[in-house]
Amino acid sequence: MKTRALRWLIGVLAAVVVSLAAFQAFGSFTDNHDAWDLFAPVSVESEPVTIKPARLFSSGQQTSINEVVNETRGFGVPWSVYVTTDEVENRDGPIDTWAEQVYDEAPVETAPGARDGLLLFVAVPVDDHTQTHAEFVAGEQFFPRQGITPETLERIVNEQMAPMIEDNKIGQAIIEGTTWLEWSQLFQSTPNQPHTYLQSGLDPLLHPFLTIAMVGLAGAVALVAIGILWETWRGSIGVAQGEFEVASAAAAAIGRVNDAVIVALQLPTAERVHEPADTTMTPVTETRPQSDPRAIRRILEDQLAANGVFHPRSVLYTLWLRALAGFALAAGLLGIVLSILGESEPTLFASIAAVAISLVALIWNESRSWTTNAGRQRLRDWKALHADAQDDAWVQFDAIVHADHYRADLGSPLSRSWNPSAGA
Amino acid sequence: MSGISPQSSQTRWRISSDSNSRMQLAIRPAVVLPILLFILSLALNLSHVETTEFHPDETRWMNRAHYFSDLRDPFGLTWEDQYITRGQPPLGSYLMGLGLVLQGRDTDTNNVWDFSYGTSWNEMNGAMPSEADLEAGRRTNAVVGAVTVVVVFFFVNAIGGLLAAGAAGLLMALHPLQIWLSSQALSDPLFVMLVALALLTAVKLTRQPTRVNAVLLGVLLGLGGATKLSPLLLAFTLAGYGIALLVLAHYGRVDTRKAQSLGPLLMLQPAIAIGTFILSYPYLWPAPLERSWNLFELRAQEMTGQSLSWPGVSVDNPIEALGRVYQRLTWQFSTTGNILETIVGWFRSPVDIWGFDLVFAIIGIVALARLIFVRGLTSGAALAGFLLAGQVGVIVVGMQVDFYRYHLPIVLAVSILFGLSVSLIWHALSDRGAARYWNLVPGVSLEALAPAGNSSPTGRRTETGSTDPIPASDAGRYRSRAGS
Repeated sequence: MKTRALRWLIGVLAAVVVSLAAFQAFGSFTDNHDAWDLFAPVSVESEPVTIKPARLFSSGQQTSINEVVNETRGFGVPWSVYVTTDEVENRDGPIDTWAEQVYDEAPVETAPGARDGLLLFVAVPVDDHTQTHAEFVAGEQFFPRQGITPETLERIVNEQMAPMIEDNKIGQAIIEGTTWLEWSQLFQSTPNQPHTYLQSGLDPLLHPFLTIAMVGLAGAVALVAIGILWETWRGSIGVAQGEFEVASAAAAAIGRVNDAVIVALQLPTAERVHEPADTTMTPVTETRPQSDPRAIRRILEDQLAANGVFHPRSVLYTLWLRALAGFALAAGLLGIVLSILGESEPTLFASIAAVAISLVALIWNESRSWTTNAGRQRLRDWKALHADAQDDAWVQFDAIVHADHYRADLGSPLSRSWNPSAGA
Repeated sequence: MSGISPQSSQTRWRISSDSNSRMQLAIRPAVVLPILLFILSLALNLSHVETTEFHPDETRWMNRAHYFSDLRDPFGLTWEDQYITRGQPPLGSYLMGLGLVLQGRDTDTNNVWDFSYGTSWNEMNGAMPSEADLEAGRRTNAVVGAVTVVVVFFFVNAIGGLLAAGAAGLLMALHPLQIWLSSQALSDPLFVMLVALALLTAVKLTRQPTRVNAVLLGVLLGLGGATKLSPLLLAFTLAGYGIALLVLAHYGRVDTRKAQSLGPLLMLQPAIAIGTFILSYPYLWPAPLERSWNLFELRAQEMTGQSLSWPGVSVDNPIEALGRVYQRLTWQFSTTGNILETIVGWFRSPVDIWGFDLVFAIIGIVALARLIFVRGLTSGAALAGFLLAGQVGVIVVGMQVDFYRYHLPIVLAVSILFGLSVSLIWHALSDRGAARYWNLVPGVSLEALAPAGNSSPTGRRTETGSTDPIPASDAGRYRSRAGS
């Protein structure tokens, strides 16, 4: 007793130590964690918005542009807006070169030389605002930046800003462009990261080799399960023979010798003092009455198999399928992990299929019916003979088959006469 | 054993007065009631699809409907680490995608709604779903809501009998918040359905502590976590419950055999739930722990942000949260309040009437406590009660902002407790003979509504109770006479 108490104490202490260690490790991981770290604010020295001349836009528009640019900096985008009308008409060379010059002269960046910022350059011709040119200039280290990609920037200029510029709404176009940049940072899908060394190495191994292996395993499990189903249904003996009492009939109906069948076998033994019961089992291999449920189970299974009601290889088939499906399940789970590491879709789907088919096979295998086709016919004959609510054998058979209905906590104890001892 | 047949544990409404007649028609309420409740709930939900007020959150769930089709490409752009993938777990989005596909639509819907901007900006930029898409999403939830009502019926029937189940299902089906959310394209109805299924499975697990049932419960908690995160925490509390059962069994304080089979299976729940949660969301695969934490952290930060943005609905502590629950489920969303207002409205101008759903719920807590006390900690009522209390507790403790949709799981609890309280009251009245006033039609006995397992269809006690030598056909009236 003392040893047992000591074991409990050691167990509880070990659990406490492990829990504390795990808690500590998890705490240190989570303490400084910020789910918004994707969009951590950035500090940029350059002005958020430069407009030359300032009167080009209304004060409301200027405020809006400033607000959106600062907000976007708060979501992790180091950037500025530069709008100018200075000699736009008389300037030689393409405007994008001019934009790059502006960026080089006053770089938008989080630290000197970082070259990780973005500039929205807008050149507005004084005499015709509809010829305004908008251009994004990105530093060499700007990308990747969440949802903002070169394609996104191009789309903002061409699809969001251009129509408004054509309508001579320059201020509104800039507000729209800056708003969409912020939206893209938050909500646009981030481009895929390039493959790592591990992923590149795993890829050729996973597909096709592991994919084929997984498909093969899944197929093997399915085929074996179907084969066992067919073989059991067909049975090895054409006509089931021998004794067929209530317990045998119930076992045939359930497809197994379960606890209810064993309890039913044992009950008449207890009542024999008053009245001989016709359900007493005559063991095939034992002469002494058995009380060990496992032994009774084995004896009755053997008897039913010998009579052709159960398939004689049911136990063996169950073990085989359990081993095969268990192996396929483990291999499939490993395949899932490997295919996620290697980002291989075909292997992932093949592994998921292997896991799913193995799980279904395992669950089915543990409760599948061992009754042969001949056994079912024998059961039908027995039912035809006894199917009467007044027939004690039928009532007993029904009670064994539907034993789950009699579980104590099915009912409600709300009424006073409920018997709590039944629930124990 | 002889004398008991499986049919004796099932309840019937007897139409014929002659129980021995082969012509008798037996309508089983256990089959008919859930069908009626499903039809009622679905009809109510669908009738509100076109009229329920639009909520911008619906656009987010509609937008992410493409998650469902993007599962074909689990290493694609959709599942990268970004705000949207961190923002919400995926199951509600899968459901929206599935609903759209089943109704002949595609999963390419609307842009993401940006709450920084107004409705007009979002509409202009394609963030408003088309009417057809929105209604398809809402219809999907109408079905989910109706299924939840049926699951509630089955769960309450399993722990409290048919009368309790019928009352619980009816309250849930008629509940204004249930109807409201089941006619919007959000994820809350799915979440509540999964919680209800987990409750039902918990009862099944206590009756049959098998690995399959344990896996099923863990998977449901994992899927619940993949809808609203909080059921993942419940999996850990269930593991604690399992440990507690083993300790109590060691000292002989509970049904030792049952506790020893149930305890280890409950201890497995976190592993199964987390495994399911991770498998269900490709975003988590590259870094399961870190990215799962991203989800929890962002939800917490968003709730804090919402609390600051809307001080009018911010909640400072659990006591205040309970006050909010009272306000919401008494004055704003109450089945009994609605019914009373309708009745009063027939005679005079509309008035706000105090709904007393919560009063019944409190009586229901007493009934549930009695169930647990009588049946023990290894019973289905105990485990499901623990699970339900845990879910409500998580909501009340974690509530930083009082949004109407956060109350739906509490409506689930209130409905279940309402059913139990009705059953308790009914039996209290029945024991005092009040039931005779209800036996109006000769031969039709409301006695049949007594919980299954206590009595035979005829009202006679089975071996677990005292014998009652009355004619089957007179069962209902006999009790009435006895009462008088």
